[in-house]
Amino acid sequence: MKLYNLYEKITLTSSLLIFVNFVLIGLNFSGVILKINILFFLIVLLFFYFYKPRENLYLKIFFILVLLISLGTPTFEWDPRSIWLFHAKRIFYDNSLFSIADNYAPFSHNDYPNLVPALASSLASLMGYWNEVFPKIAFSLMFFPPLLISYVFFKDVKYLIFLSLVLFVIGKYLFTGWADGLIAVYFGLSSLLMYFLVIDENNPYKKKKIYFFITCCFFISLTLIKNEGFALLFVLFVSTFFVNFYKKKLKNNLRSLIYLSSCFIPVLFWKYFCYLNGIGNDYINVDIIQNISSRITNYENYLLIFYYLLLNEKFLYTLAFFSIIFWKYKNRELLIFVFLNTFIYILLLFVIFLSTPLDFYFQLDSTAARVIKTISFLLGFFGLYNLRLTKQTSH
Amino acid sequence: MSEKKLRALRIFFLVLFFFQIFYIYQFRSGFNFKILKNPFSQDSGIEFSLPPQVIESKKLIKKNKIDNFNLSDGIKNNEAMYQRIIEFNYPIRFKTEENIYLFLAKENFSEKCEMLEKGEYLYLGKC
Repeated sequence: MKLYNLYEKITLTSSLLIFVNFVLIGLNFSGVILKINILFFLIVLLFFYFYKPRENLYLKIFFILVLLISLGTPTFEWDPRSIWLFHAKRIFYDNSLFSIADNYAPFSHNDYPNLVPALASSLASLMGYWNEVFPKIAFSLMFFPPLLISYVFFKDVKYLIFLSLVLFVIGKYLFTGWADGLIAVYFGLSSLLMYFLVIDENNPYKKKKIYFFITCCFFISLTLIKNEGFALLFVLFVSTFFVNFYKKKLKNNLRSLIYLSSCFIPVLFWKYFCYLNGIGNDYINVDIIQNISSRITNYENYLLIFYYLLLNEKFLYTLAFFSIIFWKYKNRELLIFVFLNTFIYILLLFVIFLSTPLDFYFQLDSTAARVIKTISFLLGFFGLYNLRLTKQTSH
Repeated sequence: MSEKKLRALRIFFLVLFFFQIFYIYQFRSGFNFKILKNPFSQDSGIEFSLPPQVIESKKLIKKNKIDNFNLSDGIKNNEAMYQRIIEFNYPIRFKTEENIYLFLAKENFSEKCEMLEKGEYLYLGKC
């Protein structure tokens, strides 16, 4: 079996096992089945390490070092403690995804989807007790499927540059228990897969069924990692729709878009469950119109958002990289696609910041640098994809 | 790009790759060898993650076999401590109707309450 075919299968299997873990907990399956599922996930990981051990050494070293750092790092920041690992702890003790229906400790944002906390909880169940450090590696392990499949698209030096990009943009979010890095990487890969399947007419990956399933897994994961994932997937569909409309190819690709839109179903179920139990979202349930109308006319608010969001140094570096690459290697269709994704998401962020029920400065100061990572990674990722170091660009 | 240039690029990015990991480990992670020595023990890393008051709250609750607990106004007014005590003590829950209270040691302990245990930072009382 060719290495790339194997990596496609490992990516699909590991992504599926992560989602199955979430579903099994949701359906109240017994602990034994959950343990078998998570053990199988770890075996897949070991298989990647020990089947042809000299292949893809960069990623193997990368993961070992990231996991070691994660195992030596305390969980002291607010989001990892109060949201993600607290949710994981609740799933572990209550043995249920739905115990949040009681809305206990509302500060922990009970409406957030729990794909990664479910994985962390299952890791803890392997030990048999809760612990502050070990379950956190679930956040690092979640990076495995997207980083592995990237090896199929970037080879040799380009893959090394890709890992360097991940370290540059995502940084400590690889192991500290935050979900923002995961959102950025899953969105980058989801965008590329959407481009392959629905936009790029002659793409060889389009003909391989496995890519449809990998795309579905990534789309579902994106929406179940964090609320932003839902908005990002929506942005991805809107931009894909417009690109196809512009190319007058909408009719040809409408069926694929409709099939792929079924990936919204799990998160819609989750949101419906939260709605039924009166578990709201801080940003949506509070009076948005009033907050926006009080801020929309003050141009200083726009300057502040611009300053916090778009003068971020990682965003500027990746924007420069992206611009240079696309200037040198023209790819109009891909440029429009990435531009639309970036523009619509930034527009959405402006609306969200203007409507925040929290203090405006606090909101910008605490979140802008994190949410812009998604766009920074997207620009760097597509810049790298379009970079041609050798004559052959894909496998 | 020639093979020679590719090799130079590979070496550059390989060095950069290790440098980036070292930078994140050294300056951005809060990494501590004491945690890595035993990341699987039940209390691993808590002294580096939580203030001593929060760690003590669990000790008091565990020692006195409390099912649910309530918090004094002094703790409720300190949002960070309030949240940390709630999440760290889970599955033991904070309940507003509960009569077992955790107080800050520096707070005035009400005469109407019975002292169950005095800690260094917190008191446990029944009111």
